[in-house]
Amino acid sequence: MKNKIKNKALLEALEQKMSEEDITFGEFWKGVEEKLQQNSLEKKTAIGWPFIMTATATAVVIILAGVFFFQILLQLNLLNSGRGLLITQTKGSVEIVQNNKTRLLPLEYRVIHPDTSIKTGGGSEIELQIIGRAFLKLLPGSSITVERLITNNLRMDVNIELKSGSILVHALPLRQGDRFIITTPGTTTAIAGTSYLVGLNQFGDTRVAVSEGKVKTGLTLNWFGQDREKMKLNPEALFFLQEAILPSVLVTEGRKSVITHESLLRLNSYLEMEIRNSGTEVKQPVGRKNLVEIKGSLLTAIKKWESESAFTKSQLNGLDETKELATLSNKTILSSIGFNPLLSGTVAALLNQDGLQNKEMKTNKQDDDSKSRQLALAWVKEFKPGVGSFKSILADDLIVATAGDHLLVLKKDGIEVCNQKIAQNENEVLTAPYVNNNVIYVGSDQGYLYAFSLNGNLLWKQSEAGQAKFNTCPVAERDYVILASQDKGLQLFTHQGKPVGIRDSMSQKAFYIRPLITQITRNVILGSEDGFLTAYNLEEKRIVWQRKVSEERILYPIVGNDSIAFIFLRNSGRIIAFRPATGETVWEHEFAALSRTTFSPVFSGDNNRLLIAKVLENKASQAVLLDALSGKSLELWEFPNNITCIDLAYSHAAFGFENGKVLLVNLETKKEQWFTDINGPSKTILLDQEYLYLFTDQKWFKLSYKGNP
Amino acid sequence: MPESDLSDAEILKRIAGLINPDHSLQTGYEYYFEILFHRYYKQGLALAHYYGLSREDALDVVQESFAKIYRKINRISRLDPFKPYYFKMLMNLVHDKYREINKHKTVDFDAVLETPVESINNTGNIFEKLQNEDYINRLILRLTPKLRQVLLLKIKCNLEPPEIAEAAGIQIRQVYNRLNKALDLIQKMMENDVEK
Repeated sequence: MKNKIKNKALLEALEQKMSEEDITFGEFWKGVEEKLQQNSLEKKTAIGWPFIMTATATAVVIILAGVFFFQILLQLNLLNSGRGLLITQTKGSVEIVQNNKTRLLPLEYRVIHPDTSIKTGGGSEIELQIIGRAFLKLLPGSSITVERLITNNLRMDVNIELKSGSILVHALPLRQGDRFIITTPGTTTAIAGTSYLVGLNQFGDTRVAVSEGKVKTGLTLNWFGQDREKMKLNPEALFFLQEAILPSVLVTEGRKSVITHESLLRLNSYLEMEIRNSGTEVKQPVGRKNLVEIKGSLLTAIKKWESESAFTKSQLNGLDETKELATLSNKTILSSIGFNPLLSGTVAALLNQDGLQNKEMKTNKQDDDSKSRQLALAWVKEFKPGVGSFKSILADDLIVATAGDHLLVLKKDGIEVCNQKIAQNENEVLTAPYVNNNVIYVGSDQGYLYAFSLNGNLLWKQSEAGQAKFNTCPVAERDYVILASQDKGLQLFTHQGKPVGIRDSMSQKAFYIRPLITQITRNVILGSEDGFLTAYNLEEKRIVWQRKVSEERILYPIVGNDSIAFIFLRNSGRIIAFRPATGETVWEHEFAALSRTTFSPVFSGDNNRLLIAKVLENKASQAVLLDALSGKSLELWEFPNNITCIDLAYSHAAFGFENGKVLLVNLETKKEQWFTDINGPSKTILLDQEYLYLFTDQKWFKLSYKGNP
Repeated sequence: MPESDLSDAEILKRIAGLINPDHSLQTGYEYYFEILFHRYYKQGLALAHYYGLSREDALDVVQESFAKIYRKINRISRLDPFKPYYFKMLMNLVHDKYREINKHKTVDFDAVLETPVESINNTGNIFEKLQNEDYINRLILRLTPKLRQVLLLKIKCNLEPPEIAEAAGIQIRQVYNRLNKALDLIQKMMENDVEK
């Protein structure tokens, strides 16, 4: 049976009678009261060890947790308010000096406060962000000190001292009252709209390169600071002089400004000399009145210096700057922590001391590496193009060229189809050929227009077509052969060579460039000697639109397609992108460094790129690749040799050099391929999908750039 | 109904009704505590004493149990039934007292349990022997703690098995099992003693 006591008798025996209470309640309760009082006292005076231990442990945990969260809150607050720099990425060893403590910082997501120095070793980098404000990247071998970040009223007041190396900056547009300054020995660089000068004790070569926005670079002369006692210049005067006379330069998108150590020293000595020569009155403490007089003489010295220095003449960014600034592209900036680098109007600047040396080294390196990446030679053939200019085009499986007074037709496999003299007169200069519907058209400076079959048979010729000079040549479309001539203006012919009448005004203009034909609208876009762009419709035989774009002659062929076209103005280096249908400007940029180049711009419709090159005075040369749709500089190449020919097609840019070398750059992968086995300069270079055709005075080469031929 | 017949819960509620805002008790509470005293003092003392505490220590523990009721009257007044809770509390206080004693003395409670039973007069009725309180105590002390706890709650505190279950924190079935086992062992011990 469950739940039953078996031995009840024993249990009852054990349940002995309770003895009488041996104590009264009164006595008992006294003891209880004592306990109550004792307990009350203990409560007030003493705390048990377990409680103390527990309380202590709890307190320690609470304090530690509090400190931890306070730190986090503090850091978040610092970061969110812009008072701290967040380290978002490090590569290699980075040294941080904070509160006189040096430590290596391999960890990411730490906070850098003002008054902190950061130093990167060779091969190491660090990326920092002022949350929501700016992105900074310190390149290998660089050193900066973060002086200030923000003011008490949350205005951006960034002051970073660059001691060596390079720093990349990508800052959001500044608000009114914000300052973003980077100082180097001798210069102060600020985002546009800010002017601020800081005295430094050292000089160094500095360059400021900009890829977006505007950056203002000014000079800082330590001489004013050091010698003011000697010169009796009070601080107010010092400030006034600095603001009043020292030049600054606004570096715009795609350009750079370089200041060398020597140049700064020279300016220093000029100014010192002027101060000394300006009389005894300046040796006394000077006020504004005296300063005005001093200012005049100082300005003379500054002008003299400016004429010698390249500081205020900003230049196009070089290949190095372009590459380095490309690392500020949106892809490379971490967006995971809330920084949006995609906002428009951002400024990216690159400061690099000793930048010129770097550039030289880089250029040499290109030559050293050149032999290791050879283009594959398909074949080479002897070639006697004749005397004179050589202008060639690719047409299906043919290469068609005019060389001196000869027409040359070559098959791409190396067979010569035609090599004959076609010029009618002595000294007649042929235009570049144009191939349309299996007919080759060639003009001449003596007014001839020729039509040949692809095997070189003359189909017809016009002796009164109009003088085609300089950069023009006949073009053809569905119904007409068009010639923009110097003496007879626009001339139209049927495919049989019969003239077609057009409005007088078009025939009265002088043209030096090949016109552009749009396929859909059938407009001929012409650039005339008087600086007008004109769209002439072939169907309606009338001018669709006309606009003056320059006072200067239009001398480079108009390039483009149905949706966008480009005119490059020779003297100013201005490129205007416009809509062929309406003439409306899409974008406009000035590339002064490329002005008066001997190369016509090359447009590639495959990926909307525009290539412009120029041979510089010092035998070096430059080439710029632009995004045709936006005008943004994508690549800038600087070469130590003269470029002799360029081409752009199928996402490749090709350059031939005076020393016979050939460079092919894949614009997507940035890979370079060289060919260095040519003696003598190349005359022309032509790109097709797999091969590159190159002509020198005596040979022509077929080179494969997509593997072995 | 005379107040002395009030249930434990009723008494505790009345005490709780005398609490001042400053947590002290109004005059008159002693009366109710006296009722509880008459109900539980002897049992509590016996339990504590049978756990091996000296009379002074046992009295101290019972007084402490009443002080605890005073201090925690608000919470205790909501307990019904009170009896099992009280003896559970008392046993905890006994254990605390032992820990306190062990802290200051080096007395080993287990050693006390191993004390051999004195030879007793093997003449006479076995139940007569039980009249010797000391003898009973020694028998009980030879039981295992679990058996001893249940038996003591039964014979010294007059708790019914459900109350023992609640006070000891075990199932009622376990209470019966343990009680039967404890009685069997005592029976055997006594028989052995008689044989000797």
